[in-house]
Amino acid sequence: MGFGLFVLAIGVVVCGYGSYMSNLGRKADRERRHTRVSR
Amino acid sequence: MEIVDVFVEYPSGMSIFDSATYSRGFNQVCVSERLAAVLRELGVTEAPPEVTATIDGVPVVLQQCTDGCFSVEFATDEQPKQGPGFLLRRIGHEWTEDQRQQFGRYAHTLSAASIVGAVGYWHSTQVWTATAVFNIAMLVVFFVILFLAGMDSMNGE
Repeated sequence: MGFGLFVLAIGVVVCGYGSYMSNLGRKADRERRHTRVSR
Repeated sequence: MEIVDVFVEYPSGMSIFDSATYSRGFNQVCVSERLAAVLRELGVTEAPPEVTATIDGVPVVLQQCTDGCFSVEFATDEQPKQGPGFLLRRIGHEWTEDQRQQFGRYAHTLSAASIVGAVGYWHSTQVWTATAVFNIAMLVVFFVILFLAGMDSMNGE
């Protein structure tokens, strides 16, 4: 049981943090590519 | 390379509308030699113009480079935001494309380790208890989740 919980904990942290940071990076890239200018 | 609309507007009210080539990789807009010659000619008598291009339907300001092309200008408020501390700045900074690619590879490495671990666990288990089933199930679940997370992270965007 302990091994499964260890895998669960590590997996959740790695996937959660990685997906969050990847989405942040994609969002920042998109905003840099399509900078809005008020005219 | 793609074709974008370029709009040159002088303070005197004169404006020029033309098309140009946009290089997304270099973030540069290259105008025709004809338009460049007109801009040079008008530069003698006119104040500096505002040059904008419509890229993906969004107008962006262009800055003239020394080689005659124009670079796409980023607004200053779009720069990465500075966090409150060094640690938060480093950890909370959004990832670049290369970092996302590396995370995808790391997730795939962990995914492969999970399935190898699950198979090894399966073959080494003599007595099938609820704990053994739970451990293997976790490894298999994270084999799938890490594989999908890795593929999503390296989708080329």
